[in-house]
Amino acid sequence: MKKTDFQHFLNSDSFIFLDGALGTELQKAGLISGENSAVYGYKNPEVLKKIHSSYIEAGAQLIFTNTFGSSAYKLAGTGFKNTELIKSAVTTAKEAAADKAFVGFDCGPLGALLKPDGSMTFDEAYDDFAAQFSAAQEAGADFAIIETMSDLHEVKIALLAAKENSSLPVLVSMSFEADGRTFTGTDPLSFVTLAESLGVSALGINCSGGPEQMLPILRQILKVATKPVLFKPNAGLPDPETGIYPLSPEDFAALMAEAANAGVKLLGGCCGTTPEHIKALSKAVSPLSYSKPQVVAIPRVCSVSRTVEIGTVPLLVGERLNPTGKKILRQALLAQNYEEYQKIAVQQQQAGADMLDVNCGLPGIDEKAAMIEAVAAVQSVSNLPLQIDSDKAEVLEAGLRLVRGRPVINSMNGKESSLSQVIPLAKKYGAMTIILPIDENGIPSQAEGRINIFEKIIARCEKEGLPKENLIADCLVMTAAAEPDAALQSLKTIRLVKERLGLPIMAGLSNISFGLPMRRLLNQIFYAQALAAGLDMAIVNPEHEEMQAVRTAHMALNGQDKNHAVFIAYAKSQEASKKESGAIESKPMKDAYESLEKAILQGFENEASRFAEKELEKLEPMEIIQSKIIPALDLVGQMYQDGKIFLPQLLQSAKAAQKALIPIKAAIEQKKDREELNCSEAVNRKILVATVEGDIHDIGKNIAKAVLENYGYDLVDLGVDVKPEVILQRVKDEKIKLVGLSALMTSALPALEMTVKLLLEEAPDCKIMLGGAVLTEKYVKSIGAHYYCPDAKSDADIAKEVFS
Amino acid sequence: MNVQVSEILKYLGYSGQKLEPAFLAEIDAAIEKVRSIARPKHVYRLFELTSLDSLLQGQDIKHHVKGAEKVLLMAATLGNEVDFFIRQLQNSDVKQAAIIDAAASSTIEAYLDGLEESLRAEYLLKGLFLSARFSPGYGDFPLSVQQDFLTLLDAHRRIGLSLGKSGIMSPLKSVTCVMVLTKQAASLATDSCSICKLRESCTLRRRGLRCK
Repeated sequence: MKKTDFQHFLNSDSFIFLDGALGTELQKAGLISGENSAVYGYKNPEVLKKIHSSYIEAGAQLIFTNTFGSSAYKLAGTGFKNTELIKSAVTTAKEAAADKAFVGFDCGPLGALLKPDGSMTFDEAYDDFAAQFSAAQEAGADFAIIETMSDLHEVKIALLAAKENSSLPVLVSMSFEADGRTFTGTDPLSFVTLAESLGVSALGINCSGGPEQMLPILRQILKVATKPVLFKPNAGLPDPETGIYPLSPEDFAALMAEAANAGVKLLGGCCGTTPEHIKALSKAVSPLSYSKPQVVAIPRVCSVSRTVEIGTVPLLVGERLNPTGKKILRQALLAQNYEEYQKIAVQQQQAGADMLDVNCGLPGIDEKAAMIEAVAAVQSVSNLPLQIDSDKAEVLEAGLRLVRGRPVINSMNGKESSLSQVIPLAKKYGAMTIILPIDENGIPSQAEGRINIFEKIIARCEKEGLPKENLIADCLVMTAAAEPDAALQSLKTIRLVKERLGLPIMAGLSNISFGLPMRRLLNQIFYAQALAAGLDMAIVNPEHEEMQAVRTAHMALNGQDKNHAVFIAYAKSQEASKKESGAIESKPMKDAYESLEKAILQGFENEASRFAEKELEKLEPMEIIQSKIIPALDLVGQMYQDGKIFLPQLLQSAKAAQKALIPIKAAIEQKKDREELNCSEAVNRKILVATVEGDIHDIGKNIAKAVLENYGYDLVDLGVDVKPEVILQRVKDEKIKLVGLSALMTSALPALEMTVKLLLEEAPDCKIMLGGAVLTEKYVKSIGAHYYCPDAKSDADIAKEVFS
Repeated sequence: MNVQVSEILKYLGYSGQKLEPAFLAEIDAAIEKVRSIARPKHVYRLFELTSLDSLLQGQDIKHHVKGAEKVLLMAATLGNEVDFFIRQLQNSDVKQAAIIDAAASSTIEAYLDGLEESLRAEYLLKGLFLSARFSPGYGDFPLSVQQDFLTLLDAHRRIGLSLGKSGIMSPLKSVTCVMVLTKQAASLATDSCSICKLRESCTLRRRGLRCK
């Protein structure tokens, strides 16, 4: 084979053969288990070269460098630098390849899980990959292959690092389990969606099982991939005791021929395969002819584990992660409390949202920093695809980078300033982009004018290499109260976009009813009308269940719900939830009916909230907290410490108290608004809680927090794995008097000690309480902290003492 | 998998309080929920005792592996779906989060119990006895061996299990353990409290209970 241009070679119409395992071959040559294979190859280049050569002789046209283990993370402690190993590995492979094969820089997983599952940060991962790709480029690799990946988030970071630090064509391959998902939960469809959006040259599966186990997953990929597909499975499943792989070269080759017939283009082997396997493979597959499976490209967006098709069935996009008009999120953003974003994300997902819109636009804050925090927070509790919502390019970019899947940009308009900034972002991050019919002259009131702007935007995008398939048209809903034909023009725009432009269509609906009574009714009817006109995505509050109802009914009538299965299931779930709520209401709970205190004691949430509302008719909100809720919680806490109740019962009471506090807190807010209470009157009752750096256990911390919140303290929760300096900064910024730190791992104790030391030195007025399974009173005192918390109740006692 | 309700109650600090049927139903539901979302995986390999000199640090593990024919290293995990689910619950229902967390901890133990039992039966047929499990962190067997332990088993690639900062395994509900194969039958009981580093602060011990 004569080497030509790699891309050209990849797009030829014949099969391409890859090499087989390096690791297991190196083991035969003397690599011992546990030893880093990249280091071994660096020390034994002749051995390595021989293995490469034997694969080329066996028929491999693409060979991968011996750099699977060359992440800085994996090399830590070996004394070797990855750039040095990579350059040597590429050189060795190139010597073996000469003019007979292309050399691919092999990039394996870094070896650690990313946040929030593990503790590696985006930047740590990015820097590690970036150094590797630039070294590979410099050493003269022909292409790069990112392989054996199990986390799609890591794949995205690697692809960004490859793009930004090299010009190598990139192939990407993940490892799936027999249940059809990777270890971290990625499904084949999300993988293909993300990889193709970021412009990979080929994609596929390697490692995990043998060809037989992987074929069903491979077929799922072949069904949706528009790029060439690669397949590099193991030689069967290894014997657990010996680690030996069972498939003979002939058996392996026969199964690979099946994959070739199914439409795989690039074929090779992973663990346990040898040059004999590759030889048998090329012999078995060469006589076949390659034909690319026919695939219809459908616009999709995804998270790491969930893909949404756009334009197939109507979608609901959750609108609530937006501070505009929402006091609670405005306060949360100002206080840098992203937990509120998490709560609302979970609520919207549970209510049936398909995607979430994330917006952090608030005057007076660093919107970019807020977007970074909000996206990370939301993704740690929700696996819905995200829409990054901002009118600032730098905020969009920060969000797009961090989204773990393929995002949507909300939005771009026809103004030059918007087009010139957003088109490059959309291309680079492979995002779908919502386009708005607005230009320098404003918003046309008539549908035709809006279509003209859309056409102008599409032409510009296509000219700059952003395909029309990546665009979504926002038909802009104006307020009916202000413009009588607003609804009609929006509906007309939807129809015209469908007919003339063929783009998926979205709209934010609730504008329509602004300033009118019975808004939910108007929104609901307008949604039905818009669906009939062809709306694909609606940005709504998914917790307004009538939206869900309209969508389900529309699908049933619109032929999008086979046998009305979705609608019937929906109807059943509605009946069931009616029964359930009826049952709770009618259950006679004698004790609980007597008083708010009893309801909290018994843990009856609905009763607690009802009693709280009743009490509000008679008492001031703060009085209810002081005279009813706190005594009840004290009693529950005492019963807990006396062993009369145990943890779940304590937490059930905490939940009931939480419910009671909802109307009470609302009343306090109202009062504040009414009387415009100034700040001097609000006492600082802030308590900061955090799990120290290096530890990510937070059950204990969260229990303490739930209890303390019920006592009316303002909790500043910094989450897990928090650096000492970050804790100190917040203590200073917010003049915090009490800090609760938690550590569950003995290995996190040094970080705990450091944090305590720093706080004692730099914030001497602040009291520190510590809790966690490995701590003792003696230890806590020995490191100079003020309080030890053996259980959840003791926190409340300590807080009482500190704030008295 | 045989997940014990009594184990879950122990994790939740139970010490003989009255248990409402509704609460026990919640525990059952939690076990079922964990079962439905967990994707338990394990990897193990046999090693010669001599090849593990640098790994098996401390007197307690040395005592445990004395007279071993072979040493079996194992790592197992429930997968990160469970971690994700618990994170979600932390924001909506702390009580439920605590119960699911306890159920997940019991589930990974039950999973290992099952593996241990079936391996024991398998080896018995070959005339070998399999010991009880001994994990890094027990006694003076340091957690610092965890990285080498996982590397030896290629655990990141084989079951998606890796180590984060300060030695935390991710996914969180994961276990590494050492078992030994001997020709002579050995007692399976270990006096786990006497070597346990947590005995000073252990709330179970205070209540007269033990975790094993």
